[in-house]
Amino acid sequence: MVGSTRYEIAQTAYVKLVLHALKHKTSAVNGVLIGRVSGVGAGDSAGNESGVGNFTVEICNSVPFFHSHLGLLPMLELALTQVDEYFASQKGGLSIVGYYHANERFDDYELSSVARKIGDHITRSCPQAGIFLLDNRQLGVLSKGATQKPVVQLYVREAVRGWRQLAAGGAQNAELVLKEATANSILSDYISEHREQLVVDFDEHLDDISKDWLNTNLFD
Amino acid sequence: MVGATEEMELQKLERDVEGGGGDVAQYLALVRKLRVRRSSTVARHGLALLNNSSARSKLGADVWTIYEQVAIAAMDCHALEAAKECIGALRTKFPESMRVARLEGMWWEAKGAWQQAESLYSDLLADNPSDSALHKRRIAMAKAQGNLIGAVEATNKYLETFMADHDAWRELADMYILLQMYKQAAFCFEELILSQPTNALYHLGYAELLYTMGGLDNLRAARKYYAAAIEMSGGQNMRALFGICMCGTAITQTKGRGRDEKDSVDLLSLAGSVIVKQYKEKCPNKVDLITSILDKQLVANIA
Repeated sequence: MVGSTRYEIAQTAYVKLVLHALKHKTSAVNGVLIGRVSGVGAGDSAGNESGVGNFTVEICNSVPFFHSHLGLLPMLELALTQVDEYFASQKGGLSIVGYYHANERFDDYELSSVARKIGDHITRSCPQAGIFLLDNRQLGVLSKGATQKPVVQLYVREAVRGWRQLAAGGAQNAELVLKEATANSILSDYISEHREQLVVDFDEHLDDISKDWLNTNLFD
Repeated sequence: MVGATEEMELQKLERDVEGGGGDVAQYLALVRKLRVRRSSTVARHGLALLNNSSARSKLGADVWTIYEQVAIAAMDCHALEAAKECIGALRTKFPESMRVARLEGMWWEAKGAWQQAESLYSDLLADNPSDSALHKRRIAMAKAQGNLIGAVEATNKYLETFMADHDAWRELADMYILLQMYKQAAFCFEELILSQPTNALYHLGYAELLYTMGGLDNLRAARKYYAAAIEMSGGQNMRALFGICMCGTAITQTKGRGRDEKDSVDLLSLAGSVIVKQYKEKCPNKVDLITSILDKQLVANIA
């Protein structure tokens, strides 16, 4: 049974997660992606559970979580609860549809076990959830000139082989697109303005609850 | 860890310096004192200061400390040429210095030339076996190359000699957590708490680890350490307050039905009410969200 999933990430979500990583250059960072899933699963009439089918995962926002102690559970569970509850209480049918992660070291392209575990947890409520790993090489390319390629690598969960990177020789049944063509140029502009300093993550909220992890003013 | 007043002073000086005015030397001194990592600002403005001969001459003997500080900040930003110049200036002034040689080792590290760095550190350690900073450079190199196991081994060896180095114990705990070797991480926390029993952050860290390990005993212990952290921080630490609530929920879920021992909800509801009070004061737009979550947790516990 082969389906295909299209992951479409809005520039709000995309720029925010990259800026989060840039704010904390010397540590690993993570966060969740917010959006909605639409589409038809194969075998729907029988009560589809495999998640196989043709889906679109529309990612419209992201919430930065942590820049320290990513492997510890209590505050992660708290953050997931707060985010779940918040978006459930808003109109729009939005929920957690993915997870993003940026490794601590520049040349580390491995998807760590922390990322996989959190990804697994999220796929329990959203089977099409993807993991987005920051690609430092691509980010470097971006700083040298315009590029349309997203600076993240997508990983999707396959039933037997687990998390696989969307790449030649890797997962085939998915595609990642930037919703707006302006995403990378906005990102470049924001980087040169040092807007990453404005990003607030859940870690910072816990240290000072007057700081808002919704980052509503980031794109003003 | 930096206190709130110091953080505010640092941010003010940083704003002034970034704005073009401000006393760069004063800012650099505060960064040194607080041991914070502000490499981009330090490198940019420190280099400008050092390249300005009239400003530089006003620094007196501090200039050499500043050369060292700016060299390290430049390496942190991968501005290797600038770092080399600073190290060169230090080398000219202190030709025989081991401290300058250590900076040269760091320069090789920043370049990714691990062999050169390692052979330099070996030579230096042969003459200075009790220099803790040299040992720590080796640990840093292992980490930078992604060799976490090697870093753990090196840190353990380091702690055999320098067992009072709390930062090293803390770092070791973090490395064990990354490797998911939780029992070993717990040992590190126990050492830290034994030597500094009034440090709220160690109690907090231990609580988070115990919660992550899971199981009824660990969750109950986590709650105790969260409670200790709350007491030591005068009820101000939001992570500890939330931690109590998370423990309550986790304990109930772990016990399932047919529990034999009743866990009191007093601590849970007390923590909850302190949290709500703080949110009402500082984050009113999330009060409803928090109240809703806490109520659900309380109900689950009583049921």
